[in-house]
Amino acid sequence: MNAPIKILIADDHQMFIDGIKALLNEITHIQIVGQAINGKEVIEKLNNYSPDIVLMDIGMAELNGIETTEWITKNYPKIKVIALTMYDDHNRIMKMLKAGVKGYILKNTSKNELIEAINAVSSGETYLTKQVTASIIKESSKPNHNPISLLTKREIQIIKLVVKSMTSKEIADELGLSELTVTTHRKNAMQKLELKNVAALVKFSIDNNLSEL
Amino acid sequence: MDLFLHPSKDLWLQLMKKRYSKNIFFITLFLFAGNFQLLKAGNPDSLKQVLKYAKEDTNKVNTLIVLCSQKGQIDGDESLKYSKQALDLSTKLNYQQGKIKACIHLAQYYSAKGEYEQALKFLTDALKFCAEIKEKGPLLAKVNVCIAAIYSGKGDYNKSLKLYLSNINILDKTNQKPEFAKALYNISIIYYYSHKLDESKIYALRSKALFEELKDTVSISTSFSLLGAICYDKEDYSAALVYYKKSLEQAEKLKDKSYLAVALNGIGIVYADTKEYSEAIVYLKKALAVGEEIGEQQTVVTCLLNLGICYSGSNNQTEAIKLFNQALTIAKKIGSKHSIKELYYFMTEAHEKQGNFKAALASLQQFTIVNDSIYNEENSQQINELSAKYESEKKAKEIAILNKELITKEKDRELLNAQVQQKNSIVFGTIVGTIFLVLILILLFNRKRLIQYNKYQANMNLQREKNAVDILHAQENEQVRIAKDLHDGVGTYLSTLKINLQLYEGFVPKEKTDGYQNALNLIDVISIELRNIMKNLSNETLHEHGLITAFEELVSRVNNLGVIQIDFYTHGLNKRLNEVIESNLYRIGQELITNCVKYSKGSHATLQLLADDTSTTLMLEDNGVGFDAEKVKDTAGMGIKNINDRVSFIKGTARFESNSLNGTLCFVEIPNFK
Repeated sequence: MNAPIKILIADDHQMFIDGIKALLNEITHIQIVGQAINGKEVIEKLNNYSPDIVLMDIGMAELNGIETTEWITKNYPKIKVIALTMYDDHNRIMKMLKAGVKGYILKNTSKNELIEAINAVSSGETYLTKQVTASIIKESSKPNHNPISLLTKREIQIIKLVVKSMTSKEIADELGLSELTVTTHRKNAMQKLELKNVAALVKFSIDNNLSEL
Repeated sequence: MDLFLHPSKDLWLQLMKKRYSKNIFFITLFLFAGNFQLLKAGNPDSLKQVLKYAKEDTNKVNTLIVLCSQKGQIDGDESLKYSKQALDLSTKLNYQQGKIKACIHLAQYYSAKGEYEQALKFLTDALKFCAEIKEKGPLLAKVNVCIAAIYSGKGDYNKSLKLYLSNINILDKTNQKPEFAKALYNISIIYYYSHKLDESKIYALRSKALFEELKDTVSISTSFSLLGAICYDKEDYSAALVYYKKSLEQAEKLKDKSYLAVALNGIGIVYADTKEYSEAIVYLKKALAVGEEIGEQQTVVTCLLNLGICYSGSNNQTEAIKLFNQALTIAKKIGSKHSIKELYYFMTEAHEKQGNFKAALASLQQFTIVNDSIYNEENSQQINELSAKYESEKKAKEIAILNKELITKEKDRELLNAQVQQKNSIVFGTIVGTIFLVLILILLFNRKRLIQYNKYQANMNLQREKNAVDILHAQENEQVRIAKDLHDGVGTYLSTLKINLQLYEGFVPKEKTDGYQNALNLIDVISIELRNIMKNLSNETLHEHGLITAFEELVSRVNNLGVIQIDFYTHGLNKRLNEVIESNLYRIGQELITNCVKYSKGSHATLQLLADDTSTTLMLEDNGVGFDAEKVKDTAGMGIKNINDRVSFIKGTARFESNSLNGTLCFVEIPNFK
């Protein structure tokens, strides 16, 4: 059998460290060799424990998880870091990836996922929990970029009436809105479409089949 | 011929040494979202039997389309035949969906042949058909994703990426897994080419996971290769090796050997870069053999090039030069200019190492010639693009002339309006003048009292403003502190609780496992809830990414609650605002949304963040029951007061309009300060 995977846990909550230790206790191919309550301690203990993997919290005193990971990547490129954190925001995920983490899982992970992540990272792969990849992908994708998608339903409704050469007052009466509100919507719509006058608006609505929407 | 290289060119040479195209890629493979699973796809031949007796109806169109996607992988021309039939028949039946799908298949056929313009033509048609049936769902997304793939094929990565990103959400939401996975894979490649390796990796990992779910061995193999290439470029050679070997493992299961070549070549170049040349040569030779067997010339050229580099590295220049020459012959035959350029570059190096400076110089000259011609080609492409732009601008001008008539009419109307206005303003002026006179008299009368009153008022305002600042700051700090406490305290305890509970996993009696699982799930639910609360309290996103991202996040959190659907629109805000204005506008938006969720009873709302040269505007409209300005004093009153305080603090104006028919409109406008 291969040598067990040696793990160092870094977290500023002793209780959490104890929990993880207990959880991984019965897994024979994983061995917890040490713990640290902040980044500075991690750096001090790396030489003594020479772990294969560091489970790294992000929010720690002294040296935070991002800085510590950067340091490890630079000085001990063979040691792999898995972020184990509560944070799931785009900003921190990207910062940790840039710092060189090989895994990213959230603290409410399951036992199975934790083990899966440790196995994958130890074999040289990168493991990002689904929540993390999905949230980044979702965040970077935007809705369609056609000009009509810039307009709200109300604005489209008002443009249609403007095109029928109704005045703002008439439109306000028709829709049960105040005249000021109608003028505001109208102004906003023209601005979004970068149109200067009603003629251009008429042309736009014909070009884009606005009357059929 | 200038013997001294231009300094910048020299630098560029250095760069190129690092980044020549050692990897083999299969972008074109993933150009398209094929396989519409309309019918349970059976044996193509039995489907053909079905076709013979089929009625001329929409079912036949669908059968034809299934045949296209099956044949597409084996026999392109037969697939073309079926797509054309499908298009004709659905045109006859006026079956728009069929037309769209047939167009996609036709585009697929032409793009595989590299005829992008023809492919684009069909896709434009498909877009038109989508507009005709007001299709905005997955089918439109599929068409758009295909167009994005064509842009990629044409090398227009920016446009391609934009289009991909704006469409993958629909694919994800409507559960179009194969198309979604392929789109993610292509996005990963685009990021890879633009050297955004971390982003590339995220997309590659996600697409790999999806391909694994779909049991799509081909794609699993290629996405492992892509991950290998990403790690290779990050100079993480051990990871690159792991991924290439996994890719190889998958590729060995496949009939099509081209994937084998990719993986073998990948392993080869990793060994080459770590200077383990003998290992590298073993794998590269295997890759070369596969390339020759399947007759893929570009693969053969790449493998020969990489092999040559290995021999050159292990000081066997004669063998290296032999291989480079061999590759050169093929590269010239297939017209691969980039390969020719690279081959001359490495040939120069090999000759140099051998001490044959005359030959080195000759290769260098060849290199420069090819390089210049590539440079010129790229330049002329740019010029072409510029002239195309000029043409379209000319067209825009023509349209403007056509518009002139309309505009003139508009002007006439404006003129008339102006005359009426002039008349009005004379009357108005007289009235205002009179009132003004009277006012001045009264003011003079009360002058002394007024001065005193103003002084008092100014003092009051100053005091009030100061109080407001203090309160707002205190509030802000308090919220951030609570968020931190929640995270550090409650959040961590929850995670710890879950971990401790999991210790009992094996010991829970069978009849209690449901309860045990429920408890675990409940902790997850609480964690998510807690994370939402934390995000609402802290203004971290706002601080780092500004108003737009912060509102996007807020709206998506609220939408996830399922009480009301809020659409967020933004326009014109392309820079960060002053910190105080940002944080107040954000809190105002939060307060507006909270009120809307709690009291409006509406189903939909629209939040808008708009900016122009003079002001920034936040608007929230809902379709709820509206509110009575008198009654809100007790219920939503605190919120409204809070909003008004913040608005006046940042010198803006707020307006609320509400009635039971049209819901509520809240409008906050902040003038821009220099």
